[in-house]
Amino acid sequence: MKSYVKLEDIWKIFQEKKKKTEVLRGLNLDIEKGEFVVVLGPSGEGKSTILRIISGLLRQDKGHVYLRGELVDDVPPKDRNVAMVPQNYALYPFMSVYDNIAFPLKVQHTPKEEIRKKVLEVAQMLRIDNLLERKPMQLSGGQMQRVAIARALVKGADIILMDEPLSNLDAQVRVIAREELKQLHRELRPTIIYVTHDQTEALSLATKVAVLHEGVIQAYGDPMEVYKRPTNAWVGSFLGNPPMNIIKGEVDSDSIIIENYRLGIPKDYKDLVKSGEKVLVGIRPEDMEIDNNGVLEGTVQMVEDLGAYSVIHVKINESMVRVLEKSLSRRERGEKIKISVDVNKMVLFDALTEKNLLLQQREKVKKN
Amino acid sequence: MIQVKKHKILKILRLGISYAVLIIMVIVSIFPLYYIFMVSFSGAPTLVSLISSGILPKHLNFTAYKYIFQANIYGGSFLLWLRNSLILAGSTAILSVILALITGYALSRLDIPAKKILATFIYIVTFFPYTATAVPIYLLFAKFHLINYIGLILAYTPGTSIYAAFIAKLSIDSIPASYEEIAMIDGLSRFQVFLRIVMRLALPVVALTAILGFSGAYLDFALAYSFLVTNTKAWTGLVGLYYLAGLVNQASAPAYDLFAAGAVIMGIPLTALVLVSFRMMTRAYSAMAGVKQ
Repeated sequence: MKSYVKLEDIWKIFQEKKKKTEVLRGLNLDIEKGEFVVVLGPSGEGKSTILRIISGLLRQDKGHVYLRGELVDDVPPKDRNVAMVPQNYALYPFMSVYDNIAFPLKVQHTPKEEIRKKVLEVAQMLRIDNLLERKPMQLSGGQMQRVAIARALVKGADIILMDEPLSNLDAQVRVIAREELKQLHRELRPTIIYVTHDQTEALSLATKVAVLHEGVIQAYGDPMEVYKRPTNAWVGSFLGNPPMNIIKGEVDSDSIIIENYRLGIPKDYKDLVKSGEKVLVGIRPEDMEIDNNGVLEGTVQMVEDLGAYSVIHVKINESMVRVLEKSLSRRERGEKIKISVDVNKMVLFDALTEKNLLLQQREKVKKN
Repeated sequence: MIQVKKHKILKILRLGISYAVLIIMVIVSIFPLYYIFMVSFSGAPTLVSLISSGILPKHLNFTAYKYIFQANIYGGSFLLWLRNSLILAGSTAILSVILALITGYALSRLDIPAKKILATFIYIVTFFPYTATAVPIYLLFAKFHLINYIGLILAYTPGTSIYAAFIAKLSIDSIPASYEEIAMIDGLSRFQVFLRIVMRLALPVVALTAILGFSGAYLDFALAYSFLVTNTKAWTGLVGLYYLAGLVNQASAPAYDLFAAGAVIMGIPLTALVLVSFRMMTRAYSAMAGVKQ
């Protein structure tokens, strides 16, 4: 399928007093029409910069931006036909809600009647038609967010950029807003590019998630796929709460030795590793279980009770691992426990490149 | 009980002192205005006469106002000069607003080389008393045939706008850039965004600059006198009033009642402008309240 939004080898360097910061370093991203792509990454890694480059507010230092299959490097923001929902919503405080939503249409000199029709239409869809006379300062956070989305939708742009639009909402409202956003996307099918540092948002909203780190997309694909089979050790340790345990190990004939304990090799990786090879083993905390017949042995260092489950921090020789346990059981610090591992759900990474071995193999095959 | 009493006495004492200070300040600031007002209605050309006739007027005398509106001296009239003043001050205000806001915007948002040095320089320039530059400005402008209204406006504007530019920069700094970004994505050019969004969000500074520019030009005597004294038809209200009240001739007795009446009339447009601007500022601030950064 042809890509609808395409970023090709994007570089962006910010210079502040002689100190150069390479924010984006050859970033590539291909987005198909109607997708809801969440760009996920730690704060300060250039997520907003990506949106500003797509919208044309910022010019990349190198690389190309294509929208709807056309090169738009020299097209100013107003002619790119994209809409944006910024983090602070940026509703003009001196205009009523109606005028705020109508603003993009007024700028385009749309006839008054048509503006009225379109504004009422989106307002009804977002259930803010009773707020149209108000000023932004009289709205709650959730209402402001809906007005901002209405303003983005009203001009009919099919590419919508969202910069952490839910981060100013309190927890309960955020969950509702998330649902509504998902619903909206299902009904209208715009192409949404949404940046956030919140992985719950990313995993629940996205049709595709793109993990940004060190100026490039580290992993891109179906959210659960990226979660289950992280492309490299960093993605594994970044995604998930609690994150994946990454432990050094060594392959020994048909098993892996970590911290002097012997575990089986996951079946997908059996043909990829040979005896004596050093690997990084990634195990999700939920794929481990405290079990008297377990292979691994360790001592409890810390217990985090999170309601639905507890995270038990266990020291196994030199390594610290996090294990998920359904609440109710009480663990004490210093308690000796045994842990069993769902071996086939483990992920193996190359000890040097830290890449997922499956992926590395696939790349090799492609090259040959 | 004694403790409570002590606190009460202290509180009364504190309030008493605050009110005493406030009342003294009110008298000091209100009395001169009241005095001018009364002199203008006294019908007597001297200052002493009012004091001897008491603080409260026995009857209002409109002779001074009548004279001011009817007198036709040096080929001009007070109303003509007042009109001149309003045009001059209005133009200065408008030009100051444009210059100050554009400079402030550039200093705040655009990537200009040596921006910090420029901003500091602007800040330092505001320290200099601007009347001191009257003579060099006159000499400079004489070379360019600018000893006229345009020259005056050009001379007044920087005095105000350099000061206002600094305030405008600070004000625009505090406006989140996302307002402009959204407007640009929605189809405005950078300059349109400046006109329709930034100017509107920085309305308090716009109003303040307008007041500064207007009153600076409106109340200036030194520069207007040196630029316009030869052309009586072009006089400003203040210059005209100076001659009208006979303040120019040390030998003859000046007519203070005329001067006071002129001052009261000239005060009306300025007061109106200040009231309107204050309203604008309050509104703009209350609309901005609760905006998350």
